[in-house]
Amino acid sequence: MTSCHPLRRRLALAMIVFLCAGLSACGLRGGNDPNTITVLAVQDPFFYGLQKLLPEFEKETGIRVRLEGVDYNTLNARSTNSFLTRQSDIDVISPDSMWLSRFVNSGWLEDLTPLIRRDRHEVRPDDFIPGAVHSLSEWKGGIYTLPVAAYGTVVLYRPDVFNELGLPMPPAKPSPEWTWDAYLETIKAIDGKTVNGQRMYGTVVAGSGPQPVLHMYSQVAASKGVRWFASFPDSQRWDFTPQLDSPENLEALTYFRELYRHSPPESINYLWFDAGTAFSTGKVGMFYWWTPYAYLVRKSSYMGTKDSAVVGKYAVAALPQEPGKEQVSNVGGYAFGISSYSEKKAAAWTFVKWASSAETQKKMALLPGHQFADFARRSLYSDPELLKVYDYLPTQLSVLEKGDGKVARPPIPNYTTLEGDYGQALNQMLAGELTPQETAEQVQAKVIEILRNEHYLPWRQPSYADTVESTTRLLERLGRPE
Amino acid sequence: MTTSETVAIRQPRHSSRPMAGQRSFANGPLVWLLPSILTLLAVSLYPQLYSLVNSFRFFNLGVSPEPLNFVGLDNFARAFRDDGFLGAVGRTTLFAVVATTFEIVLGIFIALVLNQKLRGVNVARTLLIMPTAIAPAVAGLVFRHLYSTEGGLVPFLLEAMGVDVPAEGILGSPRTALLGVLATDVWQWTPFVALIVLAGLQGVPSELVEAAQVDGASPVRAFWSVILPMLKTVIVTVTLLRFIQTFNVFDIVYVETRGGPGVSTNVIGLDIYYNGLSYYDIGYASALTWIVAIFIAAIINVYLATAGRRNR
Repeated sequence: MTSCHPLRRRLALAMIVFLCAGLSACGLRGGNDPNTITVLAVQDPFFYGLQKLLPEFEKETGIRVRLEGVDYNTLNARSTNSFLTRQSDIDVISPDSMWLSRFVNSGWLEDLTPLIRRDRHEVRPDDFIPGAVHSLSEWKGGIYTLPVAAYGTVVLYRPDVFNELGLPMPPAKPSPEWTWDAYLETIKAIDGKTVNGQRMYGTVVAGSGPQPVLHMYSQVAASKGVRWFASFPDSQRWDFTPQLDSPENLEALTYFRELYRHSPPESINYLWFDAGTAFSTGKVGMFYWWTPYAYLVRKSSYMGTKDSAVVGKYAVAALPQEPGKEQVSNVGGYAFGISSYSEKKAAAWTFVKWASSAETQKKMALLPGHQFADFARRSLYSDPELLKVYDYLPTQLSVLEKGDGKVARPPIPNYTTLEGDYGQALNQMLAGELTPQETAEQVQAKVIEILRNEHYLPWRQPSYADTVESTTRLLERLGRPE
Repeated sequence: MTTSETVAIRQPRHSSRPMAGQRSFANGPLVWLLPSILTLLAVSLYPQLYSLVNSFRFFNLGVSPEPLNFVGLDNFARAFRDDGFLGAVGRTTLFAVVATTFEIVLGIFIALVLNQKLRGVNVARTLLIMPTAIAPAVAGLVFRHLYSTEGGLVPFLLEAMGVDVPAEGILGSPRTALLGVLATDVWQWTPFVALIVLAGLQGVPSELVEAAQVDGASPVRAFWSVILPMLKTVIVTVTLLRFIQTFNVFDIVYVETRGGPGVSTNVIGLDIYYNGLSYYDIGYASALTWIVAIFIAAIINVYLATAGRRNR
């Protein structure tokens, strides 16, 4: 009979047990404390506001929150890997609006619709801007997240530069005279001029591929009537046949290339905030971008404390329109949802309600030394205290009321794949490697190939007519007793 | 005689204390190594095999959270039709060859200088390790600022020397972006090569060099005929290491250009990252990973075979 020293056997056994325990611990990042939830969020301005207010929430509810802030791509990778392996280490997640359909189709998020109905007096679904909920939180008739930061698109410009050059000011409210052509003409009139010793660029683009450039381009494209697919999502019968070589897209591509020609050449590599920083240094006359930049440009660095060169020297205007086309404002942002694999769903729901409530959002906006105004709730846009700090809120509301993120960037579950190729082609166009015509043709061909490979062409699954109106009706229903 | 009896005769029963020189599983080293081996299998071999299986499947999270079906070699065939991937292979090979060559040549030169008994050499050695010690992503961020046309040091120096810098900046022009990324990599990893070669140099007996010099060999001749052959193993090893690392470059490119402008800096690491962790085309990304692994293995074997033959 083979035997070994009992002490050695025990030691070997102890090592194996230790190893297994270590590996198990790796899988239990969220911990077993029933009063602690893990919230994973992107480090956008809302994150910092919530972080400062967490002690209040923890004191009120007795729920401890481990708030983890990550960058955009890490959020995508980390949450996908966690959900794919069915781990319970994330209780609350703020997916990008473009990932919602993939997350929901995969069964990774709880349907919040029944909870909203049950707690309607607390949630106040009728207070949400329907376009924001439609763009960020709703998929196939269910609400899976509640918005904490809704972004529209506005124009930021320099009144002092306009005065100096004798240019008419753009309007604060949407106007038929304020067109994309007028926008470009104004930019051309500013570009290259020297104002108060500063050589001005007409505008700035976020040219880096794939996401930043597509975020910026998709607004011009949507305004000019570009639609990605034959019919999606606002149709009873989805048809993903791409429409990216349409005359509208060719015109929008040509237009966007022209915008880059009046931007700092280096902006071909600009990420989201780089474009905002360029404006905040005072060298850019006018640009359009996500609404958080209406306050972020007040500081010289992202969420920094030092005032920028444009404090008190810039104003916010409405988005230009395309004559004869229905205006569509891009809507993006973040909303909190609950992981299907969470073991603390009740505590997670308490947190989601708190973070998305008007009271918390207002506190976030008025925190000393902090900025935040990305409200998805209508009531906050008429709050005198908030208007005193963020005087452009009526303009922001006007774009969000017209917002439909699902038209500007349709949330097909494989959106990130399409975005990758589309954004890269846009960057190639800015680099001069492709003409607008070649860009349109290349993107169209590539998207057809992807959609065929991934079984979207032809579409044989159920469809759902997904419109802002259907979300409006859903919110109204949820606000009423059954 | 039964079989069991034969065994009993040929292999006497072990006593509870094994005889000197005999080791059983329980009291041999294997039991102590087992946890490490199991861990290695769990964290290394299993993911590799899993990715190999996935490379033969249609597994795309944009379509389904579960793998759908086996597709044979479709993912591999698709890679060879994918202009983006093929372009990235060419670009990465160019990047790896040029970066490795620069790093090896410069590294040897710096090591030779540091091997001299000069003042300040100790300080220089300490400073030299610093670029290697910082994360590549941080190096990328630092160089992104150094290359900026808005007050960046590099365009300023280049223009002072009469070199034209593109208006879009070094990283903004398709003509210069890869060069900019390459310079960052060379800056960060040349010191690593220098330190390894320096360690090798310090193992070269000074008597041999002195003997060569007594025989009338010039310093260049002594280096070429005496020092370099003795450093061969070190240089082959460090070249392999650097080639593999530069072929897998990701962090610097991601931070500096994200593959742009256009596709001018889109390298394999970035291509696989986008396919796997952004587009979630797991099957295709797995196939790309295996193609690259096989490609690198082939290159390394050819290199080792060539180096070995020369050595003989």
